[in-house]
Amino acid sequence: MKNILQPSVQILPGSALFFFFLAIFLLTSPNALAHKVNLFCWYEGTELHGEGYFSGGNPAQNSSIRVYDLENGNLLASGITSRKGTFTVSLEKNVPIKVVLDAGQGHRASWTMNENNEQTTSMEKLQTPGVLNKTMTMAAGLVAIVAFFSFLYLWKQQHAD
Amino acid sequence: MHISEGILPWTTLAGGYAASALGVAIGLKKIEDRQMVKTAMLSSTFFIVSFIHIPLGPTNIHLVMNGFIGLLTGWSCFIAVGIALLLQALLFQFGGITTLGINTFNMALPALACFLIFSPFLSGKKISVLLTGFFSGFISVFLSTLLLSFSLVTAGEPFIPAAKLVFAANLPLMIVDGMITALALRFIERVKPEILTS
Repeated sequence: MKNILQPSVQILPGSALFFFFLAIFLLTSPNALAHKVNLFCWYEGTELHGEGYFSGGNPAQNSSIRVYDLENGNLLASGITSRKGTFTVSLEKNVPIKVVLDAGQGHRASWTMNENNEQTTSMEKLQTPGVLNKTMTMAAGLVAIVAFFSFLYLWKQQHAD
Repeated sequence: MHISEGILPWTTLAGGYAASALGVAIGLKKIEDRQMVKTAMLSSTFFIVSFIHIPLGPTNIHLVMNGFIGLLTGWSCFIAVGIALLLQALLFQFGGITTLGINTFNMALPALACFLIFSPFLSGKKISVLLTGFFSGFISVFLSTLLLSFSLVTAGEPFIPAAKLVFAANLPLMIVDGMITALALRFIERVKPEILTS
């Protein structure tokens, strides 16, 4: 019974430092940024060509491509990207469009061309970043471990005699 | 290092659970009040280090540090490893519930072996803590990988190449784990040496 608190208090500073560096390591891990998807498109005559790739340089394969009329939102054409992440769709008329690439799991990118032939590209992330979820889940795990051993400690205390 | 669900035959899974249950039971009996915080801390360490992945060719390996955990927790390593693996399986689908027994056994038994072999050196201080740390890290990962490969072999002939691959992939990890265990132990020796001998 004696000296119960003493060891725990003395362990803390060193371990806290250890966990601090672990947390930094995990949060700055390159995997956290690995899955942004980019989309670039260009015209060749009436055909629209494009290419989708992730920020690491890997092509966005088998991703769905949808081309919308920018003014009324009608679907003009659709397709799927090749193994190289490229696609080609034929458009009947030259109107302002919005191209949306959906690589799944919430990774989407869009490319628009307005009436003044100005192009814009944007990345959309529909889900909260995975690394945050992971950190929260890890924290939950650590809390669970502490809870388990606290429980074990109390249980042992009660069954000591 | 973690075996997923649906690979191993039920006999291996049941054997793993039986052996781990025995280890946990002895651990529960032996654990003392003053070791509780330390064991919880090392369980957390084990829980976290498995997420530090080291890319290696087509695959990647992660730190295990079961030698470190074994040296500091002794028989309680079964509890520390078991609870960490349970949470990894529940929260991250890392490993699995059916394979919890065999995974715990594969990682905790080498940890215990390191405790039995190396803890006299820690208290006796006959060889440096760096060497003790390196060898316990190295040997624990070596034994764990060996057990893991044997477990995979029980799944049948087709898994023999996989078992060999797993063993080869983890060879560099033995050295890395050994070095990190050595540094961690030296750090503890400097800031709170009484942990090593209690």
